[in-house]
Amino acid sequence: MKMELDGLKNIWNKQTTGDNEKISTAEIYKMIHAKSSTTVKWIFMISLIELGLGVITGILSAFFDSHKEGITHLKSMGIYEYLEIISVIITVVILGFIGAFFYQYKKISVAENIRELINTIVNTRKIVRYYILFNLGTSGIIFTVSMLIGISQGYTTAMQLDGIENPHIPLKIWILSSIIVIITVSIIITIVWYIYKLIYGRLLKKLHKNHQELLELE
Amino acid sequence: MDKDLEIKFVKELDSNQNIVHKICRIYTSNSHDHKDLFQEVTIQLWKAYPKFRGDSKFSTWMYRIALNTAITLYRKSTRRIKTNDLDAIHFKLKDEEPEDDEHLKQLYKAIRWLTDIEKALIFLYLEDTPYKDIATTLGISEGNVRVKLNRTKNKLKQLLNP
Repeated sequence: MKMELDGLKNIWNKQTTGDNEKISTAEIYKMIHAKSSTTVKWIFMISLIELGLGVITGILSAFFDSHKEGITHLKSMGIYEYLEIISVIITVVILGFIGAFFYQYKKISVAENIRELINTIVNTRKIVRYYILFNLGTSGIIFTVSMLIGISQGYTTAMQLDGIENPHIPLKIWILSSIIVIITVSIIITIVWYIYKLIYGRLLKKLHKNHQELLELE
Repeated sequence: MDKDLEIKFVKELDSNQNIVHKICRIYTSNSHDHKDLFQEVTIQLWKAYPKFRGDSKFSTWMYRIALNTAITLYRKSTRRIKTNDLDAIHFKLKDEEPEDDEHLKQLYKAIRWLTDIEKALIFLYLEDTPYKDIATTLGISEGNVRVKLNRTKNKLKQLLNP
């Protein structure tokens, strides 16, 4: 028999809660005090860990001896002041990310329409994604520069041991080592970024699918 | 939050729990997930309740919060095998006729094949929600509601009558 939607609508409106499904008022009282486990809560926790990790590693690294040695070396090279300005800028940007994250997170409201709710959640996540990209980018640059400084230092020391005073690093070696370091760093960052996206892709798969469907409607 | 508000909320939810159950039947496929989603919807409704001003009917406000929870916020607490178990659907029909019972179960089964957004559209259509209200609940234009609803109704017809 062919089932028509209008006919089914009438049956739909005749349904009530079955005895097996009925939730008693005592159970409802219990439920309203139960712990909620939503995608937003997960996103918030993970984002906090991500934001926190960047800040904690920054603070911790200041206590290591190698960090102090590095500072002495940078001072002797005369670039320490510039790096201090850069690190202030980085800190301001990170604080900006954290502020923007909390502002966007506070905007998430279940009473919004479906499209707006998904939009706000996606935007909150985007902030953390950009924060991770920013961190990867700055780490990449810092790592590349330190590697090149290390290489130049190593070369100079080796030459001095061979009795050559004030040795100059040939341009060829500079170019070659720069290319190798940049390629290696880029590969590492790309891999880390893809793993990160893969993990998040799984967590937000449903959200992105629904977001896409709503976007296609407009 | 104060006790009176809690009592008022539980009373309102209790008399409207049929709405939440219908949404749970659409978005979950076994009784464990059904109860899980019911609980999450209850928590979200309770959290949002202090801001409910009563401009709209409690039931209309519930549609939005419950659908938002099912579509966007709900995460299954554990991984379970996805089934389309019709025996786990426990509605009751007024002036029950065996044929109606079977048809309603088939309707639920077909709806479960739709996407999350299509489910919301069909649900609101079956609940006789005006186009204007469907549009504000989903956050899309009325024109787009008409287009998408027609497409979804056709898809559903095909699923019901393969």
